[in-house]
Amino acid sequence: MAATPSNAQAISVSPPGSAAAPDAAPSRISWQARLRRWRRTRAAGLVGVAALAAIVLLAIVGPLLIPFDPIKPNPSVITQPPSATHWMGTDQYGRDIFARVAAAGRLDLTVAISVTALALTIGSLIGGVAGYMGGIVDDVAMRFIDVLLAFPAFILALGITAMLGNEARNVVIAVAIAYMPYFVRIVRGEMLSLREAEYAAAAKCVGNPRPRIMGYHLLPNALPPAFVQATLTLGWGILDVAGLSFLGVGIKPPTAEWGVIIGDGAQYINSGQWWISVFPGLAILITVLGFNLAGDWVRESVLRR
Amino acid sequence: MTDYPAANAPLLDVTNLQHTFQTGAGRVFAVNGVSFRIDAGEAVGLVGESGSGKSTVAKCLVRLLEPSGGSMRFRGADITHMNERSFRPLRSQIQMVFQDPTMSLNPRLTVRQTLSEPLRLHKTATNGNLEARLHDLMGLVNLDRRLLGRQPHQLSGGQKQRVGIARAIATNPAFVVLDEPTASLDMSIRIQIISLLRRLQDELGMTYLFISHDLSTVRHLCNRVIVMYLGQVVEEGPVEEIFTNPKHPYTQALLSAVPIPDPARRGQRRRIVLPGETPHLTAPIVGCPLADRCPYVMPACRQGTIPFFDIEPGGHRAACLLYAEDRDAVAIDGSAESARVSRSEASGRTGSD
Repeated sequence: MAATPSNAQAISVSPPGSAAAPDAAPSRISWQARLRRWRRTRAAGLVGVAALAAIVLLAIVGPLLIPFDPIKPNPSVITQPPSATHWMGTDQYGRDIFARVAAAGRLDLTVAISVTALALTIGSLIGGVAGYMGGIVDDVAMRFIDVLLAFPAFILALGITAMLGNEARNVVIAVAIAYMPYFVRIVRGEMLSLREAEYAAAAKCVGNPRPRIMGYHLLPNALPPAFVQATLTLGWGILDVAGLSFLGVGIKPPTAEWGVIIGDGAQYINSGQWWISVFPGLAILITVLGFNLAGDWVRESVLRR
Repeated sequence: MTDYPAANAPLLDVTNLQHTFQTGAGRVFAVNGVSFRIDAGEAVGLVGESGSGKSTVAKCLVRLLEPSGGSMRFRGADITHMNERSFRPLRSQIQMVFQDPTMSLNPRLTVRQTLSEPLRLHKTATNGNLEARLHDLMGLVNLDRRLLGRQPHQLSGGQKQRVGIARAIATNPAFVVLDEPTASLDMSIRIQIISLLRRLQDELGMTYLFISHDLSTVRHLCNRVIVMYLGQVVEEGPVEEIFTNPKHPYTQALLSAVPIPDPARRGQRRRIVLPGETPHLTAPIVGCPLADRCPYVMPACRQGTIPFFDIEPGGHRAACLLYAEDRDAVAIDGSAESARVSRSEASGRTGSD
């Protein structure tokens, strides 16, 4: 995670006279402090967005720039170092690393987005219902989530893929299940406080049925913190998918996937053929860092409201 | 209690209403046997300090809270423990305006979305005339219809409360509970909102229960006042009667705390300060809720339930033994010398002991 500014929690109490605007939202942090803090995270956030833009560009445009197939072996150019022809070198089967890293970018970004969308949707629904209903529904849902949280996300994903079989779809499901509990907890927590909100009472007075109060009035207001979590999950999701693939239980070779490519090159690093693993590794680094920096920025923007 | 025939039943009849909260520290007896009737067309003020249970009464009336005892009848129909599904159609008739519009408006919804909800849910307007009805509503509460597209954070406090009022009157309710609708507003806006509420009542023929601790706005808006203290009604009557001739010692103290705008007249009134603090309602109160703080307390005040005594024929009555018919039967605690003087002033009678 990116470092948060050390004085981020600096609280300045606004002078009593400044509450002139009767409808000003109650806030303990002065807007100047918030602005400073936002500007600082914004600088880092822009770096993150730039990093992500570079990766997306690589994934979309990269394969069009070169004539090499990411899957088909070419025995005549085995393990060649980076050159003008092969910008990132070739692997032990003579496949162009740049072609593979770019193609893997498409897969990894798609998988990360699918994982996050799935975890966000299911987690928010479970968390929303549990937090709003409370009682036995909440108890059952939360004990189930506690069981999931008892395992480290990666180990859980490993177990689920091993169980379901390692296809791309199952990897997405497994990693999504592993990250869903965080969304459940966040949305449930928001819901617990929102259901006591006066506008929930007002919605009831107007004649809204309970499901509509939950789904239409409260859930959308409970989601912003979940969106912040989603930006972090995008990064972690990529790490986990690549990690699973590296271990051989994620995406199967010869599919171009960053973890798979790192796995291909792992045994060659000692003998000096560093490029096979280093370039996909850099791609993962830049992507995860990008998601984290951009995520911090999103969080600041959400909290600023 | 008498069963009123539905035809000439009062709009709202509350009998011995009770509500207790279960908290970590034990049970809190917020409302203890509150009874009152409201007839169609009235504007009734419900006053009392914070913690007197007036908001709890309001929340019971709109069924945001389940009463623990007593009964509430709306147009003769018992709504005390009606389930939400059966009560929902009645919600179009019983509406509420909340204290703080910033809290009671959904921050994500536009004014249009907020106001469309009651119209759609109760089928007051069809898709064809929805927009026209929205414009009507905005006109009724003196808001520019261009504000329909705004979200609450783009509105001022007064505008937000006008939206809150528009939401409450959208379905042409017969009865509106106003839970301190001006407490969070500036003084100048407060007056506008009160005038608006008065005008709306005249035009739409609604009945109000106006909850407030701001007595001057009550005097301006209401024609009858109910005074609550510690979850019980201590006095009720026509507004001018209560303000000019308060009888219950609590009402007298409450009224003496109303600020007087004219500095020259400030010295003329005795400020009555009751000793002690408002106690916590962790046990049911026996006798008069004010007994521990009242300057005129008598031994009989701490026993049983204090009945209401009629003061004037116009419905002015007070739950205070000072006004018992047979006054010699209740011994008066003679320890409070000053109390005796002001009692004779206050009650307009000469001391009988």
